[in-house]
Amino acid sequence: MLIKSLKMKNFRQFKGETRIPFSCDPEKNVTIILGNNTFGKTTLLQAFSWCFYQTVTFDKNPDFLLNLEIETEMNNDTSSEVEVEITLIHDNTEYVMTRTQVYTCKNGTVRGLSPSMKVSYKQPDGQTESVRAVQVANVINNILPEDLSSYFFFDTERVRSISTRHDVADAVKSLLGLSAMDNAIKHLGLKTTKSSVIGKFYGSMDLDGDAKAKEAIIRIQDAQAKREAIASQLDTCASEINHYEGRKEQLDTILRNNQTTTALQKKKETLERQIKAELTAQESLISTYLKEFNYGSLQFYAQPLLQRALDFLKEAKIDDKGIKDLTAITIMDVIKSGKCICGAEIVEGNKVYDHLMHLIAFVPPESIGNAVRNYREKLSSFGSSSDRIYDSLKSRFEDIFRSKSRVQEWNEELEDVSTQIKGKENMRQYELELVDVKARLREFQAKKERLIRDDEGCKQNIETYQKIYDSLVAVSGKNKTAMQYIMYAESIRDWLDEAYRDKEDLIREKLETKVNAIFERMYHGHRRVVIDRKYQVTLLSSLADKEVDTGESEGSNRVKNFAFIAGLVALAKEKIISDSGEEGLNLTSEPYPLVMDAPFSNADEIHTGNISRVLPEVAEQVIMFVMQKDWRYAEPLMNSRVGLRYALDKHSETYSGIKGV
Amino acid sequence: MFENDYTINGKHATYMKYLVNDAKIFDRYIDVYMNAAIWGMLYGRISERDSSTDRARVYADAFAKERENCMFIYRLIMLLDNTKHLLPNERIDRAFRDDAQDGDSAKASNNLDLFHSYVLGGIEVLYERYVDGCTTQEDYLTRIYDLMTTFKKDIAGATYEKELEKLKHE
Repeated sequence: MLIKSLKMKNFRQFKGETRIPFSCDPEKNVTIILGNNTFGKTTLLQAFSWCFYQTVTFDKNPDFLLNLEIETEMNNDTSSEVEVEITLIHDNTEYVMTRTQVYTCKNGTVRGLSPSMKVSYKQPDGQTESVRAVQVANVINNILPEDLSSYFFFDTERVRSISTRHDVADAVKSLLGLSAMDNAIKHLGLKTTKSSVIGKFYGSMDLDGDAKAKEAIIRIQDAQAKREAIASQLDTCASEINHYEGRKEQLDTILRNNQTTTALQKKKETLERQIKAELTAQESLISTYLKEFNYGSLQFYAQPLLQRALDFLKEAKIDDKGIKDLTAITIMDVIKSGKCICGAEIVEGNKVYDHLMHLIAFVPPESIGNAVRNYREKLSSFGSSSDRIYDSLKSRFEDIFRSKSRVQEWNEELEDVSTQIKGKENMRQYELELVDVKARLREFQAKKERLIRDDEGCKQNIETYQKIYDSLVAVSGKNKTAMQYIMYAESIRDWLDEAYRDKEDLIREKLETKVNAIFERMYHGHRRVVIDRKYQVTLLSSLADKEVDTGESEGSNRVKNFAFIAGLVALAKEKIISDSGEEGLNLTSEPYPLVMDAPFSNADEIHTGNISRVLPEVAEQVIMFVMQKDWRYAEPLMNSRVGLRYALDKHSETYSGIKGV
Repeated sequence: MFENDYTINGKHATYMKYLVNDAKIFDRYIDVYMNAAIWGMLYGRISERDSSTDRARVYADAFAKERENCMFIYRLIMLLDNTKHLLPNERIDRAFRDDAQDGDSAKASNNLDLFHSYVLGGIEVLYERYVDGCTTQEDYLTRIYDLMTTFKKDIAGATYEKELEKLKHE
């Protein structure tokens, strides 16, 4: 990088527009700006850092950059601008960086608005191209990392020690061209870093996919096995259906051809059933017939005898003088009591006694008249139901024989039917078989349909899982690709890492050597500079074969810092890094200018001399803001390298200018 | 009278058994016994006890159940039997007086023997009439009916000759 010019507008005490071109001549690469205290040397340095990074480190009112005279002149509702523009060449391209801040005056108060930044560059064909706003910070950081800016915009009076600074490793790497590699390594990254290339590849892998694919395969195989089982069942089913359909056809034919036989068969069965029922009824009839006969035969057959007896008794003229229910015992009791029922005296031998004794002959037991009379009544009644008995038996007998003749008739019919169907097969059996066959057919048809449905289900399952599997295989393919990419990326990263470590060590070594060489030339003592991995710089003294950190004085610290910066810029300038690429890994670095404020303060004349001699040699460009008194020591050694020379011109406390001398 | 078991021996026993158990015309032995008495008298058939070994017994409890009928038939037989050539009064006494409590028990016993001779004779008649020429149940059923029908006609005085006469006039 070479700074071509600095242009300021109303920036602090630099009222109006101030333009300072810097020497870009490689032989006379030093630009000197002379100015005593309070003339604005530090303001110039701040102008650089404000333009680049929008940072300033003024002690007083650091946020207010507008020239105070301008501010005072501002009326309400007017505005003024503060602007710093730096023109530089970086990587063979000319850039113009302009930071502008507008100040407005309201109610007598002047306030700065948010500053804006514009960067443009010249394309090879001379056309100016603006950098997009979002890219501005990047471009600036590419040109000069902010972390390192304080080394190059070197405020000697304010910075105490480089060693107390925060980690500048990245900045140094960037400056020396390592950051491309470092970025590449970081960009490739680790599996665990999600935003990195490898992390993203890793993240893109579907690790569940393989397990799912295996499961899908198992399911497909299951379904396949099920389908095979179903197919074999369907075969069985089809052959069963075939068999039963064949049998059904046979049976249909047999039954069709033997419809008469079937009808006869049915008739035979009906007859047999009827006969059986009739015989049962007949049995019951017979039983009743016999019972009635048993009950009635005595009365029936006794009839003529009864009549004969009645006739006989009639003719016998039984002397029936007895009084009904009066017995000999009753009469004897009356006689014994001595008084008749009528009240007459009964004395043995008297009239009443004789009458009663005569009466005894006509009452039982002496008289059988009563018995005969009773018997005669029974004789009359005994056969009274004979006719009914006969009629009933007759009717029952006829019933029996009607029944018998019915049975006879049916039996004859049965015999006839039996003769007709004799020798022919039992159609009923075929009918039953047909019913069974039809049922079996229905059963197998249903089973077949069910199996087909099941098969369809399996088929769909297979398709579904095949799709899942295919997608997973695709994922698996993607996984494979991702794995391959990861392997490539890791190889590249490892390779870069290794190369980077080598380079870094080499660079640090070279930087240390360079810094030590420069330090030796600048410092008039015996000390050695050590640079650690974080690019922290320590001064060691040799003491009894040991190197010890003996602390740093203001002077030695100053020299150390110069040496480090000088080493850095020298290294960048020499493009040592590029040249060291032996394995095709060429790193690019850019030479850098040194912009220094009061570099010689706190340095003795020897150091001032040394520094003056070394800096123009190692740096691409040197811009120094120096007090007149310090310049005296430096001028003899530096004069030959000075290309441009300016002096700050202080018009007032709030107004400085600059002029060439 | 009719208070103890009565045992029938020989062919009468065989006949009685046959009528009940084989021909199944009568339900019980007592039925055969009572009907036989009537039939014996109807056909004037008396018979002596047979001495061959077959036996059939009418039990006392059967008599107990049919005592009234038995007594009725007994008196009927006693009134109508003319084999002893008794006077009408003597036949009445035989029927009503001999079996009384204070009656002549010897006479009563003889009377019962007479009664039984009719029973035995009746059994023979029953067997002859019902069993002869019959082999099947239908035969027996028909025989029962035929006998009754013929008998009915007989008692109505419709003899074979009278029937012929009737036919002639029609």
